[in-house]
Amino acid sequence: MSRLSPLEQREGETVVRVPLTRGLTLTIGQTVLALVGVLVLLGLPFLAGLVGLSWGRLFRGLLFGLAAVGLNLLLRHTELVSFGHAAFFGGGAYAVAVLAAHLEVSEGLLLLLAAVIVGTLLAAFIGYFVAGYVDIYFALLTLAFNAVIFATVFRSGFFNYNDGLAVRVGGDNPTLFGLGWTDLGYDLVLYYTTIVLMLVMLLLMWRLIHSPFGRALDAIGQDRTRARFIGIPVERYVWYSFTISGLYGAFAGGVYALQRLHVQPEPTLYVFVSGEILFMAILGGFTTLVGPLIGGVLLVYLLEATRFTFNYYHAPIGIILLAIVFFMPNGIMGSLPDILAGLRRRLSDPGRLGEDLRSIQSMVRRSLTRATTTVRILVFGVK
Amino acid sequence: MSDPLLAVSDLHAEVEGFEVTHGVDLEVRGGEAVALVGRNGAGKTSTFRSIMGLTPVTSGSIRFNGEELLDLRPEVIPRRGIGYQPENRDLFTGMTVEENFRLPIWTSGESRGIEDEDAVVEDIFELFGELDHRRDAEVQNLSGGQGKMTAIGRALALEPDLLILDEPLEGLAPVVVENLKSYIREIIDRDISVLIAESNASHVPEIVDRMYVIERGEIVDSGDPEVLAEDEQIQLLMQGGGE
Repeated sequence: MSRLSPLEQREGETVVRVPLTRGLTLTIGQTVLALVGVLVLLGLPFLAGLVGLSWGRLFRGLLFGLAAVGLNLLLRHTELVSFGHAAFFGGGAYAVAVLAAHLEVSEGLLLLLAAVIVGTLLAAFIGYFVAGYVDIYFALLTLAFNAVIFATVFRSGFFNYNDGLAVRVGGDNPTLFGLGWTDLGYDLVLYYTTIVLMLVMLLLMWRLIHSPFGRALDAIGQDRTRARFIGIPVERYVWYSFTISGLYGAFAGGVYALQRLHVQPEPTLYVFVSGEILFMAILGGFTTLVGPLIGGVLLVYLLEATRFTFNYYHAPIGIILLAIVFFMPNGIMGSLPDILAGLRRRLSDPGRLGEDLRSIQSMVRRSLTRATTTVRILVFGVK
Repeated sequence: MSDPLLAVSDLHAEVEGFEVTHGVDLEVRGGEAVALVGRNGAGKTSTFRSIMGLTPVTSGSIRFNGEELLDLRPEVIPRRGIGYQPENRDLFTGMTVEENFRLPIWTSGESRGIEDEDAVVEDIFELFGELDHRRDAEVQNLSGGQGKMTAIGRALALEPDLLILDEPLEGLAPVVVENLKSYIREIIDRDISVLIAESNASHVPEIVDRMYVIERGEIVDSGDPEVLAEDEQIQLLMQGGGE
């Protein structure tokens, strides 16, 4: 195969070289999925309406999903659970709002740059203090920092308390690329600019997790002591990864502010939002790169769509989380290969369906026996 | 006589609040191979982990190339030139044998002055010839002997001046033990100093120049390994008897 061809043979399989990412390849199936994904993203503003979905909700889902992609750098590789990533999402969103509302900065891309800088600096600051901790201490510290930032914004007149700040200068939408746009034009230009930047960020994240630095993070996640005695500067690397992770959240928060044109503390900074970002990563599949993005779209859509349908709209979300943890611990994208392989086996051998049915019956029988035994012991005692 | 490469003096180390070494003294000179022999729980691993900065030291001194290691963070110690193979293989699962070798070089190779990463890795595969065909295997799929070799290979990746091996022969089949002994002798022939912990004194004379005996956190004897390994009192101690 010629040097210019994107195809190469590796271990008997044809794979596709990914541009700009030396040495990284996709299988043909992954390439098709990636291309379909990109096409869907590009066509989303027009496709969403055709199938009765709200494009704005899907866009916001993508933004929270991108924050979850950043969080996943910590979760998947250093095995640290952060309950404070809304701080960076909200930090980015508020950077945009403060600059627009108080300093009358009207160029959207400038506002977005400020969001990334502020959110990343915030992540670097918090990361410096939490990088030496693990497990519950890390989770609680990140939660505490998030809670302090939320309370400060919520109680501060500068941030206009719970009412938040509008991202408008003189009543107009911000400009994009120095130009004023109609409402629809603004939304479309913002969306496509975001999609291009998001794809670049996904590619960079992919490059990062396959780099020596990414492997070092894997080593740290497995065992910090082990990582130290081969010379890995554990705290420094965790700090770097925390900061990079915050950068993704800050960018997403900045775009969120530009899309909503109004920033309030509860949807952006509240600690529940941190929990939701974490949930997105698990729901979509934290063992994959794009899983958290899928999780973000699904969760935000479910939350926003059910909010006006159910009084207790968090309950079905909780049930979905329980189902994912019990039946698909690798999340949607992480379980996809197993599900597809199972389907393929059953298509080629329909007899397996009978076996499946029998195994479900025996599982239900065993569960019922266990439950009745437990009830009997509770009511009548061991004897 | 030249200054020792490693000098541990009056080392008192603690594990979970309990003192586990009570004034350990030992030395390793440049190019020398030294054994620390003692039964399980005698304090060998605690001594080694203290040298690597992984077990808290309450008092004493550990000097390497004249520098006090107790002042350094654990991740700096490998960069000063000490390679460590822990008692359990402690490899990075989900990574290949080759990635386990490359990982220390990726993160610390520059501070050790390593310019040609590939040359170092190939050198390790040349030493452990039987790992060559397993270079792309994930380490959780290796046999016990291959796992120990990978752990030693990883410790060699930063081209150390001193290699610390914690019971490398433990739990291996006799044939594998003989292979590993020859690999360790080859490492010593490459002018790398070796400090090796063993609970079986009979393995030691073939490998090292000098031997220390540790019991209940204290060095109780030291000298010629041939003489000490034959000593009835030492043999009794290794079996759990004697004083």
